[in-house]
Amino acid sequence: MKRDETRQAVVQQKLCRLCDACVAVCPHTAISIVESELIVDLKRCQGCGDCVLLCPAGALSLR
Amino acid sequence: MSAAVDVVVVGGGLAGSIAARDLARRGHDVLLVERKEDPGAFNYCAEAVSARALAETYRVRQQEIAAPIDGGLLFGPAGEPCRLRWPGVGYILHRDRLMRDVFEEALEAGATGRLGCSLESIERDEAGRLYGVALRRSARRERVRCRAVVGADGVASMAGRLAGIDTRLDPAQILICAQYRMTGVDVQPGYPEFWIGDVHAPGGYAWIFPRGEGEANVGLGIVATRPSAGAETATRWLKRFRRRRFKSTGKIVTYLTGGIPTLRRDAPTSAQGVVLVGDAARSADALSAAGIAEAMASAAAGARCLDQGLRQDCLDAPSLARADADYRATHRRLATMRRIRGVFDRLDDAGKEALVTACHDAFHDRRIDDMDPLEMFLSLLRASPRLLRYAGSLMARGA
Repeated sequence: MKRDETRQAVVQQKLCRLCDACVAVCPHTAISIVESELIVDLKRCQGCGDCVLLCPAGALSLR
Repeated sequence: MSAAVDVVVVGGGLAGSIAARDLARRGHDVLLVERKEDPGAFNYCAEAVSARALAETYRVRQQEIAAPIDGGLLFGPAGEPCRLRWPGVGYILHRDRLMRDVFEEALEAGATGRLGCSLESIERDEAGRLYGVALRRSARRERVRCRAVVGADGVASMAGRLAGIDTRLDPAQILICAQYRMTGVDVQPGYPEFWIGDVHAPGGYAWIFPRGEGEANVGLGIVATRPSAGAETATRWLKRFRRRRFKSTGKIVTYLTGGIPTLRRDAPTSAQGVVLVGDAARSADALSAAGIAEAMASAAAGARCLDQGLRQDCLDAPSLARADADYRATHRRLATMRRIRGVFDRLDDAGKEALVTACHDAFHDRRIDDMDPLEMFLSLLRASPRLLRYAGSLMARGA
């Protein structure tokens, strides 16, 4: 997916199944699961969109 | 004041529990930490396992088995099945029960378990030698002194990341999965279904594992970066597959998603004082994505290697990398499956249809107990001139 520095990954918690797929692929290690919640570190997220493409549940988007 | 143990095992899933059990049995003081409150809770699994592979590390109990597997049905893109028979090849497990029992076995062997607890940092001295970890449970932070850490914390290993091991996966190297547990479906007991073809699951396959009494795990895995995946989620592909296979029959009782690392080769699996096992070390097989017995075998190899390292005070990264090398050397099937996957990946749907047709001609309703997967695959290529020509032309094009 095209890199877009003006946008960042946003998670819809109610769709997220906490499966770790996005955490495993994020090239900037910007995503983690803390206390049963998916957290995107906006200081690290470069808006590459890999997580959006991979998320099996459609819980991530770029905004 | 901080507690002290020999080893902290991070992750109380199947790999972590086996590593903790085996290290405790060898006389080491082990702390087994799991971030969930229930060691039986899991995110994602089709629950199928080879009987022979599981027996390498664990004596399965009747209460852990949901149904036997006696073969399989292979469907191509057009949906005509080929039936392969292999009585007693494996089981569909009650994965939750198995996980609680293996965790319990680790505690019985002498490991100390800590639930609802996650790894926060790995601590090293100025020479880079690991001397402890910081753990967190809710708002409470605790330091534990230790000599080594086993990272058994899955596909996105935090232990690996904190140890400075690059565990990131290329998006093309992860099988993205979604699965329903369904009831009231018409499936053949003992015969899981495998549906191959981009029309069903781009870059992967769809599966149905019958759990008995009309219940089944219905799921699929895709390679999301494939153009044929159309940038649609695994869940959308699963909805489509469910409609194709079951129309509007059956009821969804649970829904899970997950990622299985299946392609990466030569992934780094160790650092000074740290060894990764299971999904964290990419132990799954590249073709069938089998993970349960593989993760457990990888953990057993990790425990053997770490035991030696602790005794000889030899915990450098290259020494601990032997755990993974040992696992791969004793499980040659992994390399075979990777090679088959390499060819399989080059086939488009016409090629996959030819493969299933050849499979039907060669093996339909036959027992395949003693056949080697690579030998089977090569004999298919030889038996079907069309398939061979097809694969050949793809190679020539360098596809």
